[in-house]
Amino acid sequence: MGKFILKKCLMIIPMLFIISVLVFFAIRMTKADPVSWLIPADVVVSEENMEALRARYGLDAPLYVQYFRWIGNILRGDFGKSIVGGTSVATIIARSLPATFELAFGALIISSVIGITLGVLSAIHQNGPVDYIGRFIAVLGTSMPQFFFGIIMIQIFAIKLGWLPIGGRTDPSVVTFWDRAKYLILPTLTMSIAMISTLLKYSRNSMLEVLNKDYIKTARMKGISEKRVYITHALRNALRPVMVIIIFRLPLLIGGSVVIESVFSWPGISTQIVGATTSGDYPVIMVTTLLIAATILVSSVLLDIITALLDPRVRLGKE
Amino acid sequence: MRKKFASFVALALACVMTLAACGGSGNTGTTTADTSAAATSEAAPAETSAAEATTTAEAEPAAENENVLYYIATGDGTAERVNNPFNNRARFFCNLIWRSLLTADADFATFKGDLASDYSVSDDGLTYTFTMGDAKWSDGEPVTAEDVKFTFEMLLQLTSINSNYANAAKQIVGANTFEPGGDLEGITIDGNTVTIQLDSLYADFEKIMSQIAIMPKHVLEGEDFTVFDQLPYFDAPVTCGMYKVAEVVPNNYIIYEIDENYNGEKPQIEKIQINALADPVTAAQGGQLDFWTTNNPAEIEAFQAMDNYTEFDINILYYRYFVVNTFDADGNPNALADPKVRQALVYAIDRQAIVDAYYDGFGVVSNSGGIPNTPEYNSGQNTFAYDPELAKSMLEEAGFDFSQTLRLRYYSGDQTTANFMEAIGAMLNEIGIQTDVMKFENDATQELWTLRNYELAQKNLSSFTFSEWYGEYINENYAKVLGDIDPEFAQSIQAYNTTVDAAERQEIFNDLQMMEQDLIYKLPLFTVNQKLFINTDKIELPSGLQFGNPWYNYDMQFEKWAVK
Repeated sequence: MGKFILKKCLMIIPMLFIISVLVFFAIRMTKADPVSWLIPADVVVSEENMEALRARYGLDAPLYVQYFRWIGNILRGDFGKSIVGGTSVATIIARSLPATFELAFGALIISSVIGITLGVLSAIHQNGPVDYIGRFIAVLGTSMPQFFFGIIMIQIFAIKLGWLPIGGRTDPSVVTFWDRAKYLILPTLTMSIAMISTLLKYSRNSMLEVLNKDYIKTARMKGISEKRVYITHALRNALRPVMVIIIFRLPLLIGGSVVIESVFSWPGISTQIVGATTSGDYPVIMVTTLLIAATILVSSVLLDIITALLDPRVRLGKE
Repeated sequence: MRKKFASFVALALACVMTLAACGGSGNTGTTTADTSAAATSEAAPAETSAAEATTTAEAEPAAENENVLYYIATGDGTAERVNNPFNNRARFFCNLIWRSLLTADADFATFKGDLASDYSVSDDGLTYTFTMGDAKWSDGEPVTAEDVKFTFEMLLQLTSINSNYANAAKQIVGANTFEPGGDLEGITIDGNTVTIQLDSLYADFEKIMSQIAIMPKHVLEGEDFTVFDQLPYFDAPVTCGMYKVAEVVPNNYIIYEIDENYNGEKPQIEKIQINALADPVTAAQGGQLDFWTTNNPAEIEAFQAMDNYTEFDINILYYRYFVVNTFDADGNPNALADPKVRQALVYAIDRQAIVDAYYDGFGVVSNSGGIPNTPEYNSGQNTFAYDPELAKSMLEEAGFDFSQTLRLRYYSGDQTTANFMEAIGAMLNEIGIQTDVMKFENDATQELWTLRNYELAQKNLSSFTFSEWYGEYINENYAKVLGDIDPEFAQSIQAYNTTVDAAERQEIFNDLQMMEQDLIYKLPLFTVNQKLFINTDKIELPSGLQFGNPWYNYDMQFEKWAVK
């Protein structure tokens, strides 16, 4: 098992290297110029000064030199500074990544609990009222755009009722954990809605498939209670494919939270990436992209490990 | 399996709770300048810098009904740290923390001392003498004549600076030969008096003195001004306004508190809280915005629907026009190099219809730098009334090639601009011109002045003075798209900038407006007025208060604003 895990972990390194090369050169091809972005259109700056600024940021060197200089710094733990704001990239990430993790983990937990529960109940009570409600929620979650749902939530709960904040992550009045948590409620629920519908559908289908298996019939014939059949025998097997969805969703939640962060003015990593991409802030783009790539790769490895733990056939190879 | 799943869920919940508990106002990047230094003989040593300040004097939480005015930073870096006031003084919160030598009234017509207790201008208009008052920085150090000289020397080193300030600074004797680390000979200090000697007359110098924010020499000396925006100073700036920066939680909020070292009338509002919220309408609906200025029709409509806001109209010089690129990709003159073609295009666009349709009439069609209904307007100028037939015949006469496609570009991200650009494209199509309308892919500066892949690019200019409009014609950026402009026109612009006599200046301005119409170096569209919305259910304003251009520094009598 140890060798299996080590092998999986080592594979991450060359993949990250390839991704870094692709992202670096792809960004350069977009012609986004961070030095130009810094200068408002009404301001006159001589070409001489522009070139001096570019040299100051190391943007005048050949691309391959810039790349190796950058990768060398990364390996030494120096993530560089934002060209636009001057803040160190490490600080930007340290500041914004926890915000996105809060959102992503919160959404993951809520959507997992609600989605799986509703999916399993839908399967158990197939074609009953619970099933119809579950399927309606699934369709609603898939068809309604996240930003629209978010705007509705703000209008109802923040503006009309005044129960929750309209946006942001904190303010000076925040003192207790519950003060902070109220900022999380609306964006997390909004982020969860699409995933709830996905998990609901997968859980329902997976559970229905398992409930038709022979070993379930055997368990019932042996006189085991329905409750125990569902929880002990069916659920465990039904959950395996659902776990794949959940684990692969996490990096997507981190990288794909830009809509939620925009609607709720949530200061997360996606907002930083969008801003950096618009302004061509290379150091920020490169490090954050690598971070997301690393998250996805680690999630993939984690999934392999969990699958191996759950199913011995995987870790023993072809046996 | 059940135990493992339960453990996983418990662990994940714990992570979320830990993150939620740990994040917030204490996270990295929260800094506050150490402003607690008392203004006594034991004040902080001169070498104290904002970069060394480490402790956070955290603002007390704002409870309900507390004496706080809410504002928002909508992004573009404004929510991450305090912004550089030289690129764009155009922010309400800049004016509350920095001061200038002079302050202006709402019309920018009369001036009085602010940091300067008194000032005089020599008869020949070339010498400005300021007597410094007794203002102090937020760290307790006095604001001195040295700070003034330092600020101007610094301005000459900035790579990115508002052209008004740059042009004003360049008029100072010795500015052209000034080297970093050297001495700007045109500014001399005698005790608490600072004298600025100009090389040549600069008509708007007093106005500019009311805008340039004076900076603390004892904090900024020795810094690299080529990367001014990125200096750590802006994380926790030492300032001299009626408020100081008390707390910055990047991308969350910024808190201003009253600066106890402020030597003027203390403001009645105790705190300003600037929240990082993207949408002003939602912020207003949620009670997080008490003051907002906009010319966006959708925002105006939304604010007008909120009963607690009072609307104020402000006339400002906010031009919307086309930059004309008169060169093709090879650097040869293209069809738009012919002024007749440019004039024809103005006739082809129904600008009044655009103002009526997209701005609810909240704008004025312009035909030059002069704006109708203003005292400076030359009423004898051509109004280029919409006439597509005339436009077409002028183009045919000029030999315009109708098979070519005109690339119309814009950089503003709002839907109104996108809509009226499409409308302009359709109007040009009606007279047989093929158009390709698209938003710029990259930033405006690069697209307008470096890449130049357009024939007509819609641009905006929030102009402090008419000089700023005309100054564009003779700057290096416009030379890239216009080449050499008419020498007489260029001379008139220079004359306008250097003439101080009001009557003479108006005469030159009249001529400039007429010349512009023949040359059409910029395709004029319209100017848009500005609206100001204040939550007067909460904020009490001083009686008789006049509002000026919110993008510039003027005396808003903010010390008299109060929370009801």
